[in-house]
This record gives sequence, C-alpha cells and structure tokens, in this order.
Amino acid sequence: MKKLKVISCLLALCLTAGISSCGASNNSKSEGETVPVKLAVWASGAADNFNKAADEFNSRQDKIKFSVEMQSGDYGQFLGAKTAANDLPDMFFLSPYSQVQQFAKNGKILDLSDRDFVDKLYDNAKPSGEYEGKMYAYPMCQEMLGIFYNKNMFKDAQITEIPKTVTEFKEVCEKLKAKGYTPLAATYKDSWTINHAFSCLQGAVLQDNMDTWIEEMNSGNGSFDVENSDLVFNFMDIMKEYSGENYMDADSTSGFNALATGEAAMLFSGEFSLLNLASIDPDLPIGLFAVPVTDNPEDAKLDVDVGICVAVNKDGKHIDQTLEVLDYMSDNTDTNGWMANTADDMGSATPCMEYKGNFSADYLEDYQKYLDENNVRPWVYQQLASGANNIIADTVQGYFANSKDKETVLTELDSKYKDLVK
Amino acid sequence: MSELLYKKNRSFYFLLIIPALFLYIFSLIIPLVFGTIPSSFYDWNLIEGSKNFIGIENYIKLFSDKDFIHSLIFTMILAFFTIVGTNLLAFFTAYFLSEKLFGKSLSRAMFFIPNIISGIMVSFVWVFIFTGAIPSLGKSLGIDSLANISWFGTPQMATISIIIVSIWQGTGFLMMLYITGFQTIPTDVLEAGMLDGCTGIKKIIKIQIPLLMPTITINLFVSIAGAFKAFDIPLALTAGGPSKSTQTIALNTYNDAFISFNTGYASAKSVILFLIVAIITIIQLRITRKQEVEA
Repeated sequence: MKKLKVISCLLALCLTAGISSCGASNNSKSEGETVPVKLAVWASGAADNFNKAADEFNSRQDKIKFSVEMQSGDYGQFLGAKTAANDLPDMFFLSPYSQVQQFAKNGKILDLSDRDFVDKLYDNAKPSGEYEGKMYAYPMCQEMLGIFYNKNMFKDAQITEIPKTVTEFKEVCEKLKAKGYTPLAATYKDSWTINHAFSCLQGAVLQDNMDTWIEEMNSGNGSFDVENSDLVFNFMDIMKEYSGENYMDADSTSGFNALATGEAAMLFSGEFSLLNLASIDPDLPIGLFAVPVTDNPEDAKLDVDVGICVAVNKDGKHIDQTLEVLDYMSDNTDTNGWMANTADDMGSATPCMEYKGNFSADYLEDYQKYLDENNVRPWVYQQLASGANNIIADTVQGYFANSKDKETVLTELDSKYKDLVK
Repeated sequence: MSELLYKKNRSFYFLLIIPALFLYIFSLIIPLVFGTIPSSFYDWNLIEGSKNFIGIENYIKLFSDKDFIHSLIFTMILAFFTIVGTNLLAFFTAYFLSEKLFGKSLSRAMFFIPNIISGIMVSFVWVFIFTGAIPSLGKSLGIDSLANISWFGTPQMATISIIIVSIWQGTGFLMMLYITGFQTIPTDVLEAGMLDGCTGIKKIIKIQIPLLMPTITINLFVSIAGAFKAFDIPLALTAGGPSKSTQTIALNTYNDAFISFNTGYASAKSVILFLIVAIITIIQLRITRKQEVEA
C-alpha cells in the first residue's frame, strides 16, 4: 500500500513536470563560426519566397546564417512582447510611417541613413521610413491599391474603356450585371479590407489637401468629415449594390478567389490578392485601374504606398552581419538575389527602387503607366496615428453591414480618433 | 465509509495535489496578484515602454467606454443563450444516450467529438457551412429564403451564428458529465419510483433532476466560466464584427492589450472580467449546492 502511495505521488509529480516543460524552448547552440541573423516577418503568402531568398543568401557564403521567421500568430502581439522583454530579433518588419516613427522615437532601431539603399529609393517611398529627417528603416516594397479587373469579362460585356469617373464606373457595373456577372468581389467580412478601401476613397476626395488634412488630424483638430465626404459614401453605396448577395459573408480569401475563378469581374484590393490567382489561374488576363471616386478623370490616381519597412534592432548582437543582410535585401542589381526571389512574380509587391524583373503581367504594365505618369498618391491611413487602421476598419464596417449611417460613422470615427491621438 | 477513508488518507490526498497546486499558484495566482492587478493602476503602453501610476483612472474610464460596455452586454447575451442551450441539449442527449440504445457508444463519441476539436477549427468548418453549404443546399432545393440568409451580415445574425456554434461545441463535454451523473443514480431508487407509478417526465423531474444536482452544479459552473471567457469562436467566426458588434469582453480586452498595447487599461478590464465571473459563479454554486440531495 505504502509503495503504491509513493508511486502515485511520483506520478503526480511527473505529470506536473511534463506539463510545465511543454512551454520550454530548446535552445540549441553550436552554430560553429556562422553568425545567425534573424528577420521576423508577419504572416503572408509571400513567406515561401522570403525563405527562398534567404537560402540564396546562405548558399553564397558561410559566415552568416540568414533566416526568416514568420510569426504565425498576431504580429503586433509578437512585437509588443519582444519590445517589452527587450528581446527584438536582429531585423523585423514594421508598418511604414507611424510604427517606424514610434520605434525610432523609443530608440529601438538603428539609424540607416548612411546605407547605400537610401539614394536608390524612389522619392515617394522615402518618408515611410524616416523620422526627424533620418532614415530609420528600409522601405522594402510598395503596394498598389486599386481595382483589378478581368479583361475577358470586360470584353464580353463590351466595355472597351476603363472607367475614369464614378459615373462611368457605375455604368460599367451595370453592363457587367446585365451580362449576368457579379461586378465586384466582396471581401467585407474582413474589416481590414474596408480600411484599405476607405483610405483610398478618403485620399481621392482629399486630393492635394491630403498633407494638410493629415497634419490637422494628427494634431487632434481635424475631422473625417471633409468637403466631399458624400462622394466617399456614394462609392461605398456602389460597392454594396454591386457586390452580390450576402456580401458581408465573404472574407478576403473568398473575395480574392472570386476574381481568380471568374465569379466576379472586379476586385477592389491590392496586388497581394493576386497570389490566389497565381495558384488558381495564372493566365487569366487581369488589368488594374485607379478607383474613380469623383467625376473628374484627373482625380483617378492609383493608390501606391510602401507596404513593408524593415528595421534593424539597435541592440542586436550582430549588427555588422545584419547590415550585410540588409545590403543583400536592398541590392537592385542582383539578378538572382532578394528582389528576384521576392518581387518578381504574380502578386508580389514591387521594390521601392528601379528594378528590372523578368515577370510581366497586364496589371503590372498598368501599374507602371501610373508610376511613369506620376499619377499616384499615398495611402491616407498609414500616415495617421498607429491604430487608426483598426478604428477605420471596425467603424466603417458598420456602414457596410447597414448598422450605421453616414453621420454615425463620421462622428464615431472622429471621437475614436481623437481618443487615439490624445 | 468515504468519510472514514478521507480522514485516514487526508495527508496523502493533500500530497497528491501539491505538484499541481504549485503550478497553479505559480502560473495563475502569482501573475494575477503581482502582475495583472497592480498593472491595472498604471497607464502602461507596452511598445512605448511608458509606465505611469494613475490610480483608479483606468477603472473610471471603463464605465464611459462604449465599446467595453457593449462587449459586456454582448457577452451576457451570449452567455445566457449558450449556458441554457448547452445545458438543455446536453441533458436531453445524455438522457437518451443513457437508455438502452443501439449504437450508444458511437453516438456518444459523435456528440463528444466537437469538444476535442479546437474552437478555431470548429469555426472554420462552420464558416464553410454557413457561407457555402447552407446557401448551396438552399439553391438546390429551390428555397431562396434559406440560400439568401446572410449569416454574418448583421449584428443580430452574427450573434445567432456564434450562439449556434458555441452550443454545438460545448454540448459534448457537458453531455458526458450528465451521462456520468445518470449512471450514479442508484437503480433501486428508480425501480422503487417506477413501482409507485413515477415514470416519464415525472421520473425526470421528481427523481433524476434532484439526484443530478451535483452534476448540474458542476456543469453550470463549467459553462458559466466558459461562456464569459468566450474568445476563440467569436474571433474565428466574426473577429468581433461586423463593426465590433460581436466582440466579447475577452476579445475586447485582447484587442486593447495586443493590438493597441494599452496594457494597463487591458489589465483593468481583465480584473473586472475576473470579478464578474467570480461573483456569478459563487452565487451559482451557493444556489445549486443548496438543492443537492443524497440518494
């Protein structure tokens, strides 16, 4: 009996020890002479490409082992925990503008002003990584938000010109609908897609006043209710009308798939949505045009902005090696390097500097045309205070779900944003 | 007999729970007392690293925070329907599966399976059912009203979707406990009742429910605590949407802690959640314990 009791106690102890060791990590060392450099990235469909590019770097030398760690959970949570524990990785992704400024202000990231990439960047990409006139992050790629459309369906509906005004856009929707197509793919169950859309629409009605408006907003004096706010809501009404039945039930994945499978003719999103197309039907001809919000064709500019900034941990253990990796990532002459592996296929964001890639597609030609004509504008939300995207996303989603009207949305946006910048 | 055994082996029983108790104190009590509660008195932003003592300001702010109050109300609604729904369904399934039934073990397993699948997986399956299977079924049967239901389109429908999935997942576990409860009811009591003409619904109300009170106590305790901590299913089904209308307190707190990084404010919210769950379960335990009878 006594023996049994002793065994029971030991078992209870083992069980507890077993549970407690679940979370213990396995710190394997002995990397030899190689220095590990880690880049933390948020979860996306591009992770495979990042790994390929890292493998290419590792195959060229044996002093540095460059690895890309995708955070499968919430990236913000990861950053917060690592910042609090003062245990940030060597390099990590940051959202452009406000997040870079936040980390630079807190002295967490390295000043990169003297690196070669700075002079090579497009001028419009630079502000996204700057803080107090210095470059604190490498703007890795820029993304385009606009309307991607299925050229075959357009041809079938006898649409020969892309719409440049909101009236023309509505006509296009009507023609597509008359042909039996769903004009727009819905993605509105995921509120972040709504933040993207609203941001483009707001940018379109602000036009040249964007910088002043952002300044006012960030000083706590501005308002989301601007001169042409009606046009923003008018466009959202069109989106609601032409996104098919049950449009609130479709999340981003089903929306992206709808364009790729030909269920819908147009999709208001970014180039990242085409990753689904690449795996479903890469030969489908997809074009791109700027979202037409007003009745002035000149207002239809493509929303292009930096999507990812890469920062270097100021307290990293291997700063020299990390900078070497950063040089590799920002080398636009390397024909088999980072850019060739990560920015040269369908759905990939494009580098923020001149780069001659091999991949070509209709939508990229359209994009290049907008760039060449300098017919682009930045995304509004990225320059608002950090956290504005969540406020916009959640509040405007109420308009799509018909649970909030225009006035409620604008009042709520203002009061929540004022709380944020306080 | 059991009293005697308990007294004889008391120190041994205590020894058995020490390791687990140690873990519980280390991973739950200590962080709560020395981490969450003190930090709820600070204005603490995790990313900026700023930490200033502000007294009970976080708690004052809570009462004017519309989103928090809405999430509190939503959690109450969700909790009410889930607790009642899971318990009723679990009770009746357990009742029928305790009878002599063909394929009893298989049926029990089928009902229990949702409980061992993670909430996120369950939600993904249901998103498919709501947005893919049901509309297709409606279309093929020619029932437009079924095909055109927008399960996540309005706050009301999104709430109903979450309730359905929560009940579907939660029933299995409670059912197992009820089945065990039914098995502890001595057959001689039931037989004696039957001889006296106590059958059918009368048998359930007069004999089985009173004798099941200890199980009901535990089941209510488990489902109340679970319902107030609802997180994974709302997150994966609606992510709190549309427009934060289906955000539970746990989700609201999480967003503050890990999306906005207002760690101090989020701590205050978790303390409030802790108090709410504690008070409700204490009241419930007191009420249901009083109803317990010995066979």
